[in-house]
Amino acid sequence: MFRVQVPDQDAPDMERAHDFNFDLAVLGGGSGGLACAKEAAKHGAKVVVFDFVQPTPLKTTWGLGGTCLNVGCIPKKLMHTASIYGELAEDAQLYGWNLTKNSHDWDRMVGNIQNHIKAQNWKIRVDLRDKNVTYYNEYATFVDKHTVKSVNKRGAERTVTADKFVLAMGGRPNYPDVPGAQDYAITSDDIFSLKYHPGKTLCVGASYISLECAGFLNGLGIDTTVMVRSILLRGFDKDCSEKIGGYMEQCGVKFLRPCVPNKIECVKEATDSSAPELRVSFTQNGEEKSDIFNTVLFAIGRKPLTDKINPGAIGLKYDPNGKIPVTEEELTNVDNVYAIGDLLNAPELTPLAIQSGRLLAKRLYAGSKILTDYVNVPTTVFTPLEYGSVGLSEDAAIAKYGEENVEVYHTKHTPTEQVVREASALEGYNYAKLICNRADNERVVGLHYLGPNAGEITGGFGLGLIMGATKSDFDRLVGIHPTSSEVFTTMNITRRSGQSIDVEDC
Amino acid sequence: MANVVKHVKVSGFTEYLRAVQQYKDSSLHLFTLFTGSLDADGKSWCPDCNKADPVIEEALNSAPECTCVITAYIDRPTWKDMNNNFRKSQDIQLTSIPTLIKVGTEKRLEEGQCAKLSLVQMLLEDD
Repeated sequence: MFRVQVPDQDAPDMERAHDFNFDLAVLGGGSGGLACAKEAAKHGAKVVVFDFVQPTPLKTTWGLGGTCLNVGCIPKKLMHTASIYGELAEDAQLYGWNLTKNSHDWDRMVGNIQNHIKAQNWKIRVDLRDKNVTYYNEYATFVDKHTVKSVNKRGAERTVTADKFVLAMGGRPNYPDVPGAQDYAITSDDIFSLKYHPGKTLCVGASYISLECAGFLNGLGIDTTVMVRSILLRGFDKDCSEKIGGYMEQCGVKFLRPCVPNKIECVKEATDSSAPELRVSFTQNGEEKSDIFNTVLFAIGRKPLTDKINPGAIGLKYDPNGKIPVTEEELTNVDNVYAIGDLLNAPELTPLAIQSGRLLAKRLYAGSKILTDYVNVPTTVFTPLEYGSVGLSEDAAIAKYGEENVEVYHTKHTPTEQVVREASALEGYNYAKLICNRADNERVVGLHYLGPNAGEITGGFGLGLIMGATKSDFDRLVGIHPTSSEVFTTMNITRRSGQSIDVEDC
Repeated sequence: MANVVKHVKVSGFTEYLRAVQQYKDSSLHLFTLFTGSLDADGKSWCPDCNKADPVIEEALNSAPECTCVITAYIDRPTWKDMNNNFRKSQDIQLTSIPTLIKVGTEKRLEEGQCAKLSLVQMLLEDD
């Protein structure tokens, strides 16, 4: 048995010896948990990771690596790419390529994406083994603050003790309290490995996940409708969010708004190779209506898996929505239990979970004092019109600094690669804005970009924001021509001036 | 006593395909080791293969009984041809030797990984 000497903070003169199986047990093998486990092992800690995926109502399940790899960022970005390729194939013909128009092969796309994911699942296991991290494909629940009981898919149990715990279970999509939802609808947990072509699809919700799924499905030639209760992309910049909705509508996505679902009934059951036929009843603007869809995808929010680990056994405090309050060192109210990633009241983003997991392990096992900075985290929504942002939305900046102090510089732009396109209703949506604090030398407190390659552009500018760049620093920067990112170096129209941004310059 | 594991040794691409055809639908867990061919002294022309082969042999001693391993020997001129069938095959897409794969899955170990007993054991014992 492994033995560690743990100085007891309450009794500094005494050294207390513990007999634990592990120094650190990580619950959840997603981006955050894996990063934390590997970093801790690198500094000599004896580490175990528990990961177990409860199947969806449709019985979809997946391997090690968490949401991002299996049912999130990775397959999403790949399907978004598949959709963008369709768009680029149109452009390619304007550039002289003779392409015969082919329909999209859903099965081939899903097969290739799933093969990539399975290869990554395996590589993670090799990596853990190589780095001496023990991995149990088992579901762990607390017995006491140093003990978990775990069970595998065959029902075999084991008990494991550890000095410290890191909670990193992440979250899963919510289902609404609507008859038929759990029986017939799917979520983002199912769509990326769907065995049949989704057919006519309804995405319920105005979350980024709903809009991203609707965006790529529509781009793949699928008849797609989005059902929205009130506003799009709550929490993101309002101005940009509405432009995304407008653009998607121009692309052919239908919106039911304001609208809520009431009931889902099965008209024709799904088979292994074909989608079901579902009748969805809904209330739109006070009016009762119904329509037939093949696939109904709920993306109405996610809930942390906090209540699935028997948190009562250790007296863990958490909010009704499952989020766990932690100190700036990611410590929960239980003195040997930490939490990271989507369990926290922080942006639910893989790189942030990785950062917090890695820095936590360095503080626990390598004497580091560096904390994770949860402010100015860049992010991108991969809707057909991509949206990148870092820092505050316009509304949040006004709430924080006061309207009189907030200067908004903004501009439209046409990406050079799109100039061959014929005039269309899709024009005029590429947009950029800088939100500055006039009371602080026009420090840039928010950067927003709508257009191609949003992630690539926003990620780089994020460095400027964490270093405290001002508007004059952006002016000082010389752009790269001809690119979309250069719009941030030549912005001179403020919202306050009332001047139009409908100008084309070279 | 060592487990009885089926071990088939073939040379070249055609023999490899034939062996896979023969065993893929059996109830055996099918693996293939792609490795450099041996000279008269039983040594491979590929240094990494010489390191990995004994490790894999050792792992096979404790592998589950339902294990079947095809060792596909590849000679040096064939491997150095960048257009050889092992590299070009969509199913294999071999980029290095030694490579140990679980046939029909995305699970594989490459080069130095094949010389680590714990990794080879993990691949062989995985369900």
